[in-house]
Amino acid sequence: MDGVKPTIASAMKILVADDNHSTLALLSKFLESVGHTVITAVDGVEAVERYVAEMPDLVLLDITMPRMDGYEATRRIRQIAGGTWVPIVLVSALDQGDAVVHGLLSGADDYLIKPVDLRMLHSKILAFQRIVAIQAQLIEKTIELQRLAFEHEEEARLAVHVYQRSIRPEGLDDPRLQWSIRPTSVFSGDVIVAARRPSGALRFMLADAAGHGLAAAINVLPLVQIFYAMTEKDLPVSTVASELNSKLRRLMPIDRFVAALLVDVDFATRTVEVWNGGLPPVSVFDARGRLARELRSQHVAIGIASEAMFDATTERYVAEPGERAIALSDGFLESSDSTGEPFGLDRVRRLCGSIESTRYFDQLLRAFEDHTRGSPPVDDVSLVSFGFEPG
Amino acid sequence: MNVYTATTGDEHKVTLSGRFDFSAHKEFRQGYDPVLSNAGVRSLVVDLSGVEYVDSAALGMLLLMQERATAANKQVVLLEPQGTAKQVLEVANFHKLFTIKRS
Repeated sequence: MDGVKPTIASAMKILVADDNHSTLALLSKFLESVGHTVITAVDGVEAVERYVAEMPDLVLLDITMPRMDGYEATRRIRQIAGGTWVPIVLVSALDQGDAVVHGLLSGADDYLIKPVDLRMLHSKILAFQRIVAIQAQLIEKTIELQRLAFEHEEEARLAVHVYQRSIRPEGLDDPRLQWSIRPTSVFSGDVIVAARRPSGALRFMLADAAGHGLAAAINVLPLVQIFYAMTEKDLPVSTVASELNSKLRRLMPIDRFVAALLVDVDFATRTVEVWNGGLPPVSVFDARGRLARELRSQHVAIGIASEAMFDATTERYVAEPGERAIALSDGFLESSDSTGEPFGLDRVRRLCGSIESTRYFDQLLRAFEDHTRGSPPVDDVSLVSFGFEPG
Repeated sequence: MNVYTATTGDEHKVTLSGRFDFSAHKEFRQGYDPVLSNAGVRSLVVDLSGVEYVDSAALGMLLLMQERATAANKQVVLLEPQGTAKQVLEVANFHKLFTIKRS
C-alpha cells in the first residue's frame, strides 16, 4: 500500500465481517500488515458469535450481509458490550445519507464507504485508539478515587465512633428532660448532651453543626468533652460557651461552625439561664399554653467570632410554675410536607397552645411525623423539652 | 443558582438568585475569587435580594468569602435577601458580622 506506515501505538484485535471474500481478504491483509490481529466473519450472526468469543478491541462490519445485517449486528454487539465501549465502524457501498444515519443510530461510531480507502481506515483506527486509551485512564482514575473516598470515609467513621462513645447516656436519661434526634443518616450533625451540675441544676446543650452527616458530626463531637469537663467543674454557661468557641475556632475553618443552645435549669429556684447562638427561638409556654416568652438567638454560632469578639452574655429568667419550654433545631421547622410547606414555628406554637403541656413533646413528634410523611428528610431534626411543676 | 457579576469602578458586585446552597459553591467562589488580587477593587457587594433559600453551607461560603476579602483588604457588603432567607440570616445574627443593607 502506498504511503501507509505501520505506526500503530499498540496492536489491536480487530473483528472484520463481510460477506464478500475479496473485501474480507483485502481488509484482513492490510490490518495484519500494520500489526493488528484480525478475526474474520462472513455474516452478522458469525460476527456476533466471534465478538463474544474473542472480545476484540475494534469491530468493522459490512452492512449488507446474509442472515443478519450490519445494523442488527451493531445493535447486538452494543448490547453484549454493556458498559464498555468498543469502537464499531460500518463499511458499505451504500452511500446515501440515510444509510449513514441509520448506521450511527444503530450504535455505530463511524462509517466508511467502499471501496475502502485504506489510509482513511488506518487514520480512523489511530483516532479510536486514542479514545480507548483515554477511557482506560479514566477507569483507572475512577477506581483510585473510589478507593481514596472509601478510606477517607472509614477514617471519619472511626473518629465519629470514638467521639460518640464520649456522649454519656446517663446524663440524657434525666427524668426532667425530654429529647429526640432524627438524623438524616447514621451520622448526626445535631447533638444533644446533658449533665447535672454539682449544684444539682440540669445543664443541656443542643448543637447543630453546619451541614449534616459525617462532615457535620465530626465538627461537633469534639465539643462534647468540653461540655462534660466544664459542667463537672461547675463553670457557668458563659464560660462553657466561650471555651467551645475558642476550641472550635482553633480546630476548624470558619465555615465549619456549630450553632448551639446552652441551657441551665435550676428546678429548685425555677431559674433558667440561656446562651443561644444560631438556633431557632426557644418557646416558653405558660400553664395555659400561651407563649410566655421566647429565647431568641442573640449570638453568632460557635466557631466564628474571635476570642476577643465572642459575646458570652446569657439570658436569665425565673419561670412560673407550670411553664414548659420547647427547643428545636432548624431542621425540625424547615422539614416540609409533600407540597413543600415547612412545619414552621407557628404550627409548633398553635399545637402547644391547644393541648396540655405534659403532652407537648409526644404530640409535637407525632405532628411532625404526620406532616413529613412521604417526604424524604433533608436535615437532622431535634426536639428538646423541659418544664416546671404546676404551682 | 444563578451568579451574575459586574465591576463598576472600585466596586465588584456579585448578584445571586435562586437557591443558595452547597451546590453553588464553585460558581459563587468563581464570582469573587478573580478580583481578590485586583488592587483597583476596594469593595465586594453580594446581592442576595433575589435569593429565596439559604442554608448553613451558604452561610459558611459567605464567611469564607469575607475572610478572603478581608485578607485582600477589601470591604464586604451584603444586600439582604427576602422571606425565609432573611430570617436565616437574622437567626444567625449575621448583622453582627457583616454590613447588611436593604436592596
